[in-house]
Amino acid sequence: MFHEIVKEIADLPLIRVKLEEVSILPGPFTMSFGFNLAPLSESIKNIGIVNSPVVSKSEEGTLHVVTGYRRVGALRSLGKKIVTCRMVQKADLPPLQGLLLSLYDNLATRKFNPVEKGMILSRLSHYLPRKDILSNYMGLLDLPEHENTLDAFVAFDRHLEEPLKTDLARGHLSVQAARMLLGMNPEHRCVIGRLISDLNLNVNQQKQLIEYTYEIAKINGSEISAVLGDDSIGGLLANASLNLPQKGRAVLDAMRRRRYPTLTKMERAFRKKVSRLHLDGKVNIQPPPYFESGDYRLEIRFRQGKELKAQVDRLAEIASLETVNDPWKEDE
Amino acid sequence: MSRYPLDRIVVDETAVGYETTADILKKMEGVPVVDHSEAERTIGQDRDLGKTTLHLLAHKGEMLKPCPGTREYICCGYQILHMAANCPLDCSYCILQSYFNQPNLRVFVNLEERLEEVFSRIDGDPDTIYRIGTGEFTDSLALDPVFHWTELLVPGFSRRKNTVLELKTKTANIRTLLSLPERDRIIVSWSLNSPEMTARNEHRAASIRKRLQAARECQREGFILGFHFDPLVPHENWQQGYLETLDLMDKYIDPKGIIWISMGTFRFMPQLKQVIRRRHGHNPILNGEFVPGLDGKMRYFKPIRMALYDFMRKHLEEWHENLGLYLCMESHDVWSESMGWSPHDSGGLSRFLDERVGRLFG
Repeated sequence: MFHEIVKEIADLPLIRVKLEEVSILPGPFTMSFGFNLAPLSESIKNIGIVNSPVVSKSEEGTLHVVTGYRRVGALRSLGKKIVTCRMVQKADLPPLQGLLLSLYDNLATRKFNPVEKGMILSRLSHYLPRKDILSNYMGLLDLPEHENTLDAFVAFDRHLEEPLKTDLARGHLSVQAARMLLGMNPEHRCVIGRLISDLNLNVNQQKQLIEYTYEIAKINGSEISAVLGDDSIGGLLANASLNLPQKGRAVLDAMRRRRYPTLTKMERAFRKKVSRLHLDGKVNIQPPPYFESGDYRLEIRFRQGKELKAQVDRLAEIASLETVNDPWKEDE
Repeated sequence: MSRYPLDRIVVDETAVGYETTADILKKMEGVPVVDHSEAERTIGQDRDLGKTTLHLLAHKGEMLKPCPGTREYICCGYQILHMAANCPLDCSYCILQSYFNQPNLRVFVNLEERLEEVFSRIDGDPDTIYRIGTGEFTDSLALDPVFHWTELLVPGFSRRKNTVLELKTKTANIRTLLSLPERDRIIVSWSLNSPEMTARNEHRAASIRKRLQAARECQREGFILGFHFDPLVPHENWQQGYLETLDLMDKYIDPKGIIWISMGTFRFMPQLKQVIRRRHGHNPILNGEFVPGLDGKMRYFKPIRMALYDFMRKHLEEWHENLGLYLCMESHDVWSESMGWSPHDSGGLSRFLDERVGRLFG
């Protein structure tokens, strides 16, 4: 049935329609979100539209874009008054077929962002069983055929707030982070999302910020907004001497200190102990990750054996080297 | 028939024809039997790990498995007798929530026939002490009133001089066990915690007092006892809480009849975190300072673990100097610093525990 409809539409004559008659609302078939019209407008300005949009006409005469929403938008932005397109009667185009037409038409020319994938999966789920979506459409969207992934992307479409969707579509918010935020209430996730966006955090930093914030709020029995609204965080954000990446790291460090008070205290104590050794800049002593294995690491950078020998001799003369040990032992 | 809410039974096709299957269905008459596909279909959040679904099946895999220890920490060399998977109790910290990839309370109806191969392995290796337990993948006694596992296991293990069978539980279900004549080579063990931890986290389990009362009864009836403080958790007023439990131990138990007391702090594979958040959202069990361990599990930061062990060791040793205290899955330095000695490696710990077996059972 779908192939017949596509063929029929392809056989339809191209007609000229006034742009003002085409609804500016996305409608049920559009799968575009958070896009940048500029490159497309530039293309259309130079070579026009090669692949014409398809619009559907309702019984009341309203025109909705079936496929080509961004092309129509680009024409509008260029100040054009007319779009050349194919027109199908709404009654002749069942919703699922319209959706698939739009999907395959877009798929041929571009990649979808995570919000658009969510829009597609969310709409398909109105018409198709989950099993079909998992086996036939997740792969098309470069997604694994996992139920959890399907649920998460559908939730992006249905539950994420507009600013978060925009950040997700633009890549400012990672898919992993967005999935973590889904588990929070809307107010809380917007607060965290705004901070992620403001600090331009990378994928790992986003995850850390969400984890720390969630857990500190839970431990303290406080609201997420209160955790992030803390004076110490506010002070870092307002600190004009820090650039954006420095602010991001400083905020995460502050959050880590709050989440892991004992661990970070020991890390500081260890650094202090090592700094008292006044080691050469080319010598470094590192604790094991989280002090778990008990094996400390000494690193010496050198260019020649002679330099290495000199460094080792200098080290051997530092009596306080013997004090390097687990920092909590000093506290006993 | 069961003290736990079992509201349906799934009979796997591999379980059909076993006498045990027929016996269980008869005992549980009135509980609806659903087919496999229905059970799979409805296993979602609504049924929550299938804790109320009794799933009867024949076990095809290994019956005796080494406890899943790792090279990075000192392991006791325990063997697990795999008679069931998952547990009718519902402890918020339980690793089984994410350990098995299949839901339901899975009970193996072919235990009796498979026991023969377990016994022949033990008999064929007479110089090895087999310390075997049934309480790792399920509670050893929670379902004993229904399945009478102890009737099946105790006589065979009790006869073998190179083995001990440890029945580890958080319940007070000791009636069937006490009705048996055998005592030799059987250890009845209880997992212990502070009363508050138990009340908040060990849902459907007996209170600490009831566990220790049951332990006293077993001890009076001639059983050797074991205890396991695992997971130790530094909760609010934890010192006071654990001392309350030690006071109860002092009240009910003769320490001379204890073969060992293990200690382990809360540790978990990272994927358990999401399960705990989903199933026990308000529980503070994840609030601690957990760091990735050398085996990939999350553990309390080392000095926090050592403080817990040190506290428990001191107070347990004040009670009695020879309790067979040991740590579960800890490193040499944690052993040394919190216990004052170390078995150095897994072989050393195995020898220590084997010696305890020799001392208590001859």
